Amino acid sequence: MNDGNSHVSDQDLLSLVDGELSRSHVAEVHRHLEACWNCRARMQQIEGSIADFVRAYRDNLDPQLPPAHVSRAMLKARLSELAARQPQSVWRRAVQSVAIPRRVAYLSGAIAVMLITLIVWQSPRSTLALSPDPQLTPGAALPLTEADLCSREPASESRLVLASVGKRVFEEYGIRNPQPRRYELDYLIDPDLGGSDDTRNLWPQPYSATWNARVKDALENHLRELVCAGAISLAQAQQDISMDWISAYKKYFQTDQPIEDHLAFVKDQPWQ
Amino acid sequence: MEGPRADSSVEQLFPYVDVERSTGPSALEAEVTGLFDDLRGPVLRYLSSFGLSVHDGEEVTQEVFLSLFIHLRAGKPRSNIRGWVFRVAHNLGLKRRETIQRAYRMVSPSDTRAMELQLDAAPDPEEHISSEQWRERLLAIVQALPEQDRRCLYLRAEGLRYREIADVLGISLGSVAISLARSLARLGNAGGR
Repeated sequence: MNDGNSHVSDQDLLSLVDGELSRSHVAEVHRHLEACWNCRARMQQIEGSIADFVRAYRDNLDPQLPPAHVSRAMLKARLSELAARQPQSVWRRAVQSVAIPRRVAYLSGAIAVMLITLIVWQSPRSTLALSPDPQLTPGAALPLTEADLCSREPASESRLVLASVGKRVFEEYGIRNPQPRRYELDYLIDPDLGGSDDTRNLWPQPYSATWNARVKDALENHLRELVCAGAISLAQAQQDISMDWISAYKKYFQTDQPIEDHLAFVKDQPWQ
Repeated sequence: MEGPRADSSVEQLFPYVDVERSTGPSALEAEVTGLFDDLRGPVLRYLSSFGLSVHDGEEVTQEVFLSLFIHLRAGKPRSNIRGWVFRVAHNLGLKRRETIQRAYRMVSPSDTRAMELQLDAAPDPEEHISSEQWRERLLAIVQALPEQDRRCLYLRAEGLRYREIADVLGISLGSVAISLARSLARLGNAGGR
């Protein structure tokens, strides 16, 4: 499947059929598809591959699954047993059960402090990457009013920008081979606050930092609620989030640190 | 899954809790059982991508929903429970596979099957391909995909959105999109029937 420069990539065609493309890019791709038989044929081929895979996947695995009633009964019994247990004494008994000699404990503590110091000392100035470069990403918004914005439903899912646009943004930030675990392409002014898909509104945001995309998402939702409740103007919300989103978060949530709920789902590791 | 083994598994999971008997199932137990009814099949299918046997897959699935019960009882976030379930299943599946491989140093059954399928999968353009052969060829191609690509494909087939897949696998949204497009291109290149 060769893509000419003017054609839509397979990745963007798949994002389109999966409903993962941003609104304005959807329109752009649809316009192209109306004119391009080649890309429409490729999109049908992708749909055909999905259908073939799903059929083969289910036909292969479903007959191997044992009946559910046995494992269901087992789970109910184990849940019942678990429900009867009191979780309050977990830490106390855990601490009591681990008899660590005092000298070993002191030594471990000292090593931990040294390691943390070393890590902090060697860490790059990651805070520099937490905010977008105002020259490259000043923020860009569509000409919408509060009424326009609040009359439409907020997007329930993340949307992807075109791959070519994403690549350009990373290049502008001097990142040639972005590591997937470190960055995510994020809107400075979220589309649910009227932000556009313009590259001036996109920047690579650290994925795993404390002030990360999840925290910003919470701010975006909150600002939208405030705008639609008439508590602040849309222009005010756009200005605050584009000037310094971390300060805006602190201001609107009245806190110096991200609220736990905004981080909890990502950081929670219940199996440990 | 014999009883004694299941009980000892729970003890290993939660070794520091006191035991008291209750009278009947709570609303939370009913809720978790309901979620189990909805998600057991999808989770078991996903765990097959780790090469786990059905028996091990069932055990891991039980652990997932027991962990979910503890998670919800502790009042932790209830948003996107399906994504949470798959994320825990992913981690427990990895741990189970490592344990098995360390203990037995053996190739997992599905890997063997994948190899056999790959050997049989050489396409012959002159040959009429039955639907059974076609399915096996597709599955062989899937098994030959990089592990991350295969998992993206399985999770997407179970209805997870890109954001949820990214959370389960600990990768970026863009990586999910790239991985899926790459996998479907390979499946597409398998040729028409």
